[in-house]
Amino acid sequence: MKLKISAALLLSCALCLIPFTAYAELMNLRGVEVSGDVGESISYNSNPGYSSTTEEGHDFANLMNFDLNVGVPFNNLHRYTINTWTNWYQYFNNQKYSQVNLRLAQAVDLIFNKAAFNLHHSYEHSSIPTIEEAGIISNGILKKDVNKFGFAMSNDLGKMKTETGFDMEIYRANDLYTPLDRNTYAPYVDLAYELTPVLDGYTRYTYQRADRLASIMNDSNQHDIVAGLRGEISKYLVGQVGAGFTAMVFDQKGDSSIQNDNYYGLNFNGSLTNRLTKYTSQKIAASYGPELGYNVGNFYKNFNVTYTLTHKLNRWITVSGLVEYENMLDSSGQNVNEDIDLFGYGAHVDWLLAKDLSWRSDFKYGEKDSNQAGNSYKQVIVQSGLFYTF
Amino acid sequence: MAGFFFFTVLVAANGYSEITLSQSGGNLKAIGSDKTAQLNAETKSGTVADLNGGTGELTYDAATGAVDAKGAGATIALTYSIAKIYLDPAESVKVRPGEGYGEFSILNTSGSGDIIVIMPDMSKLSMPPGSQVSFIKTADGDYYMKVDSGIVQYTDPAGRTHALYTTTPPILTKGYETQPLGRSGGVAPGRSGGVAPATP
Repeated sequence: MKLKISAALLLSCALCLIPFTAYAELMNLRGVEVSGDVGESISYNSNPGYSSTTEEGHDFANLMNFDLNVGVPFNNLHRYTINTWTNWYQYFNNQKYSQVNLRLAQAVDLIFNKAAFNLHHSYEHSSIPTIEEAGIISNGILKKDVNKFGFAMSNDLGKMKTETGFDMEIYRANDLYTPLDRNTYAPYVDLAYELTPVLDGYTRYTYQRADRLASIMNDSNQHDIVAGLRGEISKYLVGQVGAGFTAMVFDQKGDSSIQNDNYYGLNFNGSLTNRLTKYTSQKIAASYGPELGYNVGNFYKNFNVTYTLTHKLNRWITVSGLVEYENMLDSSGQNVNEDIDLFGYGAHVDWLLAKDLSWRSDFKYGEKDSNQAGNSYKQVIVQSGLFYTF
Repeated sequence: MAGFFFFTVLVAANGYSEITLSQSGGNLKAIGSDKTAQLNAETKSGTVADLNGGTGELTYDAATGAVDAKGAGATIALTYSIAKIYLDPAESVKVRPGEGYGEFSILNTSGSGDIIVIMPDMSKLSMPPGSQVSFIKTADGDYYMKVDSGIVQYTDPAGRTHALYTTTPPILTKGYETQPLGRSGGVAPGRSGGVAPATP
C-alpha cells in the first residue's frame, strides 16, 4: 500500500512536467532548460523522534526523492531559475514521524558588464534541521515553515567591489517548538578591495531585527561588523576568513523574565578549501557568534566547525566524509545555563551505474549532549537507494 | 580537533605544480613558484615552470583575453578566477573572460583525455575533449555554471555525480563568500539527502 502511494506521488510529480513543458512551448520560451532527479531509497533511523530515551526505538522508512530545476534565460545574460526538492519519509512503524519535506526556491538574476542584481524567494516546509536547530531540538521532531525573500546587488568598480542586499525571513514551527517563531529583517552592505588579482580584503556590516512571536521571547536588534580576506588565501587554500564585533541587544517584553542579557563581543566565520589533488579535496568551515535563544535565554553563544573530504576513486565512484562539532552555551540570566555539545560524523558513497543512473548510500551518526536532564539524544541514519537523473 | 589536524596534515602534503593566471587590462600575469611570465599584445607566448616539475606553455590573445595553456613535464594545477584546472602532460585548455559580470569560460582543447576542474565549494567537473563550460557571477558572489558544448560529468559538493548537458539549467557553485546566519542570496541547487546537512 505504502509503495503504491509512493509510486502515485512519483507519477504525479513527473506529470507536472508535462503541462509546464507545454506551457513553455505555448509561450515560445525556446530556451527553457529542465533537469532533475528521482530517487527511491530505504532509510534506517535509530531514533527518528530525537528521543532522549531509547523507548521508541529504531525504524525503517521508505524514502522517495524528487528534485526539479528549471532555468529560463532571457536577453542573453539574464536568467530566471526555479529549484525544488521534495523527499518523503514513510516510516513502517512510527507513522507519526513520517514526513514530506519540500523546498521551492526561485530567483531572477540580472547580469550586466560590471554589475549584477539578484531577487530571490524560497519556501521550505520540512523537518530537516540545520546544525543550529539540531542543537535545540529533542524529544520530538521540528516541523518548520520558512519563507525567505530578498535581493542583492553588486558592482565591480575596478579595484573596489560593492555589494548591498536585504533578506527577510518568516519562520514558523510546530507547537512543540513555537518559541522559535520569528520574523527577521536584515539589510547588509559589503565593500571589498582587490589586494592582489586573486585576493580581496573586505568589510561587511549587517543589521538584523528579529521579532519573536512568543510573548516570553524578547525581540532583538543585532549589529555585525566583520573584516577579512577572501579569494586565494595562500597557494593551496581558497575561501574566506573574517572576524569582527557583534552587538545583539534585546527589547524587554512584559511576559519575559529575561533581563539585561545582551551580547557584546567577538564574531568569527571562515571557510577554507584545499584542492589537494585532481581527485581529492577537503574543506573546513567554522563560525562563532550569538544566535537567537530558545525558551530559556535570550541567545546562545554558538561555535561550530565542519570538516568535509571528497575523493573520486575513479570515473564511477566518489566517496566523501564529514565530521562536525557544535557547542551552544545558553546566555540565560536566570539560574539555568544550558550547555550543549553536538557531535556528528558521516560518509557518502556515490556509484554511477550509468550516465544518468546512480546508487547512493549515506551513513550519519549524531549525538547531542546537554547538561540539562532529558535534552540529549543519539541518532544513527543509514540510507541507500537508486537515483535517476533527467 | 581531529578535523583541524587532518586538514593541516593534508594541506602540508600538497605537491602539485601550481600556476595562477591573472588578467588586468591587456596584460596576463602567469605566476609559478619558479618562473613568472608577463604576456601582452607584443609578447604573446611564454612558459611558466613550478618547483614541482610541471610547466605551463601559454599563448595569450590580448584582443579577446583568451589564454591557451598546455601542460608539460608533470601535472599542473592552473588557477583561473575561482576554478582550478588540472592538466596532465600534453593536455590543453583555453580559458577566456566573457562580457558579463565575472564571466569566464573553460574549453578542453586536448585531443584526448578528460580534464578535471575543481571549484572552491569542492564540486568537480570532468570535461571531455571539445566540451566547454561557462561561469557567470551572481550579485551575491556565487557563480552559475553552464555547459556550452559536450556532456560534462559533474560531482556536487556532497559527492553526488551526474551528467550535465547543454540543456541542463545552470548549476549554482559557491564563490568565496559564506552568508552568515543561514541567509541565502542565490538559489541553491535543488538537491536533498546526502551526508550534510540533512538529518531527518
